[in-house]
Amino acid sequence: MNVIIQRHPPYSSQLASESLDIALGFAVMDQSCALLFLDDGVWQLLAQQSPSSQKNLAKHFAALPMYGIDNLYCERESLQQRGLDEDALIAGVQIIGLAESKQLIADATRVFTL
Amino acid sequence: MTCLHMVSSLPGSPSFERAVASVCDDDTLLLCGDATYASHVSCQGNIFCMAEDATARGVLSPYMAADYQTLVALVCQHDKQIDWG
Repeated sequence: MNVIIQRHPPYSSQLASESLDIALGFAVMDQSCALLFLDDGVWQLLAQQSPSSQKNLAKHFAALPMYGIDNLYCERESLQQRGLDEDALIAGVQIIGLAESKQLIADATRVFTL
Repeated sequence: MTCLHMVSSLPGSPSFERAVASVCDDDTLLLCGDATYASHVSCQGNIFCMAEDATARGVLSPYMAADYQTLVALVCQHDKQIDWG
């Protein structure tokens, strides 16, 4: 399993968008991958995003199952540290604890971070 | 799968804390740059410190000193590596 770790907030840089492109690249090549949102990366998952000029990440994430990417993981501790509620996130995100995210990284054959 | 976790940000920063929290038993944590200021790291795996970066900062790191040859060896010894920044 390839794991793409997202630790950056959206829109202030291209890092979130580029990470999404990596995921789509895997999908095109029929490679399985999971997205793991940690730290400030959890901001990318807010359902109510409406950027005026950049691509709407939430909409892209919601469309990932169509590309065969079903595994979006978000760490509970990162949400809590930022006062975010699970209900504020887009649908289909699996909330996991610190121990589970650590295990996900340990089990991954390849890990990508930008 | 073993992993080499590299970190170069100051102890206490989110990236540093994330790196330390991610280290498993057979993993290695490599302190580079500002991370060489760290002196009380508690994590499961081995800890190395880039000697050149520590020396540049006047830091006497309590962790195993690594030069660039060690860095290459560490990269080869592990299945994957993550740069936490």
